[in-house]
Amino acid sequence: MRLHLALSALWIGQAVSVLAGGFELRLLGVRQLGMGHAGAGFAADAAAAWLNPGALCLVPRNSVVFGGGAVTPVTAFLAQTPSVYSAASELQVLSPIYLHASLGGTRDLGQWRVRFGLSVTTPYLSSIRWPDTWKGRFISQEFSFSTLFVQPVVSFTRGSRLGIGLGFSLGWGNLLVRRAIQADGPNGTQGSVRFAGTGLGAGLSLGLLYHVNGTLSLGATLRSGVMIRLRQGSIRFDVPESLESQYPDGTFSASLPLPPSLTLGIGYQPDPRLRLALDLSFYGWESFESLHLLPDSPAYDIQEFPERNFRNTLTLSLGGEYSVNEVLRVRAGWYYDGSPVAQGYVSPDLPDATRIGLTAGAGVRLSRHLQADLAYAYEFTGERTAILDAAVFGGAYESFVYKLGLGLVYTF
Amino acid sequence: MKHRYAQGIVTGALILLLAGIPGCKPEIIAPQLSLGVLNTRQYKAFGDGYTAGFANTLPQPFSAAGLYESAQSQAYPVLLARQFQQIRRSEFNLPLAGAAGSGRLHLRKLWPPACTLIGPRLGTEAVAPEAGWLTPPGGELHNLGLPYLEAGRLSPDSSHISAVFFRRTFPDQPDYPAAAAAAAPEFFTLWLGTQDLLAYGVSGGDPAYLPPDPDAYGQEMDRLLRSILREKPQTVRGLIGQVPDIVSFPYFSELRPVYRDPENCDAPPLPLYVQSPDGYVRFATEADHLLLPLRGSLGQPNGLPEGLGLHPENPIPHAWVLDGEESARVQSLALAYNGKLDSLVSALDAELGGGRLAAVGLHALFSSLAGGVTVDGIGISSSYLDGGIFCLDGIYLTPRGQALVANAFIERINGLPSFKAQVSPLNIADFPGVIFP
Repeated sequence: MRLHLALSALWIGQAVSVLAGGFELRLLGVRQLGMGHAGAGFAADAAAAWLNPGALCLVPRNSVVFGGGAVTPVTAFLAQTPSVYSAASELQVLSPIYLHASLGGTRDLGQWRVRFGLSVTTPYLSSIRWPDTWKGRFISQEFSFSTLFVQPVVSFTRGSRLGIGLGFSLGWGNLLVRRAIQADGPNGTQGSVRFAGTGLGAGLSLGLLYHVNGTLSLGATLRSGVMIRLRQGSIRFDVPESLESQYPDGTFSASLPLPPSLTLGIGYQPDPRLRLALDLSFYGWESFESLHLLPDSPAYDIQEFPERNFRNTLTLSLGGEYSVNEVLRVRAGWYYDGSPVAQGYVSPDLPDATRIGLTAGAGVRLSRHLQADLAYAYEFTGERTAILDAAVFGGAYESFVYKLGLGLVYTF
Repeated sequence: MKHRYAQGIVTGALILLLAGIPGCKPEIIAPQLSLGVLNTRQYKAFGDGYTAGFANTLPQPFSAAGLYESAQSQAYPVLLARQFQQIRRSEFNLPLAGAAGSGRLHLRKLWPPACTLIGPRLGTEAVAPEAGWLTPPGGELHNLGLPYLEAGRLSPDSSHISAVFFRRTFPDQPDYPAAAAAAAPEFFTLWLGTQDLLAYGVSGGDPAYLPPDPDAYGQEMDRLLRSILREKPQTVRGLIGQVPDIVSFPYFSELRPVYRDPENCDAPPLPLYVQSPDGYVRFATEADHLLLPLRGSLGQPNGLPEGLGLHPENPIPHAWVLDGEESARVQSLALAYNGKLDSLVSALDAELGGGRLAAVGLHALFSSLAGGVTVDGIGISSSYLDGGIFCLDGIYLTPRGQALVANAFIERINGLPSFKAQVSPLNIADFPGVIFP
């Protein structure tokens, strides 16, 4: 019986994906996406293994949640006045996925009950591709960063009111950077350089959930920063033939710090059919000072604009879920996501700005064990006018992100 | 009660979905462009080879090679006209010289440097001119830039190289001011004087090419400007470019006055012997500017003791050196010319009633480029080959250099309240520097 869970866990439902401040993409559960990404303050399902390990042991039943999404960020650019040059990033579809499982059920250890969980997520995902011949090509033609995290979790409770959980996460990161360099060739060709590399990093997370009473719960999740260390990444040049010996292929190293975070969540259930949730998160993006792509062999004479100087940010999520009947649940949410990128450091590879998201979702119970979820979110930044000081490049940026998530929850 | 929750959530969700779908792509509204009071249909450009789009000239002084179609069509007046055409349709005709034109220097091969201090070895070749290049064009010309035109030689001197271009471009005109008057512009740009200094500079300070003194320069520019203004005094408007410091151009600034062994990077630099104008042989100093064509021949065997410049009996001939005194002369002349230009422009502008003429700070532009600037993430400097703005000859401009000049004019246009114009600048990234094979 439990084995066939694994198959039916091909659940396209619970994908929460958000390009959150910087390059975080919170793809954690479709249910949570529908609720504006709120999910740290109540014990919903196995997604707690990532959102709040402390909640995992308080989830009524074991479950496997699986899902994914399609996220399409688009950014428009208008060069600084008086230029009327405009460009738009190419349409891209990011596909975050997640799998959360609370396996092994609840074990009794004296007065303690213990539950184990596992999360596989893609929490940081960012990709932007500008037209190869756009104005900012010497700063960025393409930038993409993706991660895959595996996090085993152990969660305890004593007396069903307070849950404590601890997770260890191992993250794999993949970075791709491409931009033009000054090496003009015949027939209008232009040189470019491409950096591609992967690396690993590890971190810890700690979660607490406290049921104040039958209607109110409070949660907190503390996540350590994770340093993704890229080693032996490849550097490839595309330059005119006569310059090839000056730009031999090589390798590079880089360190990409993912921020520590603290999330405080509230879950409120004034009525058995209605659930409201609020999450407030603090991200320690200050750790991301620069992104140096350091060649291992002799330095090439190419320009870099590595300074990032991210600021710490706050995000706020509000969401609600209503059970219309035994079969259907509807959800809606709103979120605010502060931008870590300061004025003077806004680069077209991460044209970040404060984001507002509006979300909607629904869950349908297909059988006693299986539920399918669908969520949609529309996220937008206002128009942000900013300059990347080091490159003397700037203008107005505006981004839209559309997110669609599909997921399944198998409860047993 | 319960159904109200549901209704609220469902309605809210529907609104969200509908709000998100319609605007599929973000769009930022661009500012309105305007040509203001400028009549760019009658835009005429006057000047020397920089205005004509002269580029990749041969190392031999005063060769006609360097006028060809692909460079002509990226000259700053053409780029300016292109930006004007974004706002209002107009024609801009050039005296096109053909694909090979008057010939040019072409980079065929590049050998990587053994020592980065020396730079790569260049394999260049001369592209032959095509027969009958630049036949006198019919119809109205808008770019009247003329290679080798000097403020001090506005009337053709048949023995001077500029006469070759003048006869082919203006077969029916007696001299350049007459051609300018016949062009009868409503809007014009004029950038002249650089070639006066270059003639002296590339000759290594030959007194035969001594540039006009500032008063003579001022008088000739006054004569030319009055010809330009003659036909449309009621409406004509224009911009006059300043003269840059040519000593910062790679032709004069690329070579250090020492010898470095291209085969042995760690060898200490050796002093070079140069010849003074009076024939006296001395060591080269930091004040000396060795001319770029020496690039491949310094220290090379030439039948005299050691290699060129390495022995007192084999000094570098003075014609290949712009010494301290000569380069200081060129630099102070540029400043004096610009002083004359400023007062001339304001005097003529006052005669026209004000708000019609202005000078463009090209001296400051080239000074900043000499130090290196970053534009749209591109590091740009006066450095040879990799600086991006000077072409193979180290004197004239690449399309990227031309675009920077065009943007300086556009910036001035936008900054003049009396023009009431708003013109979009060019994207520097769209214009190549030196083309590598």
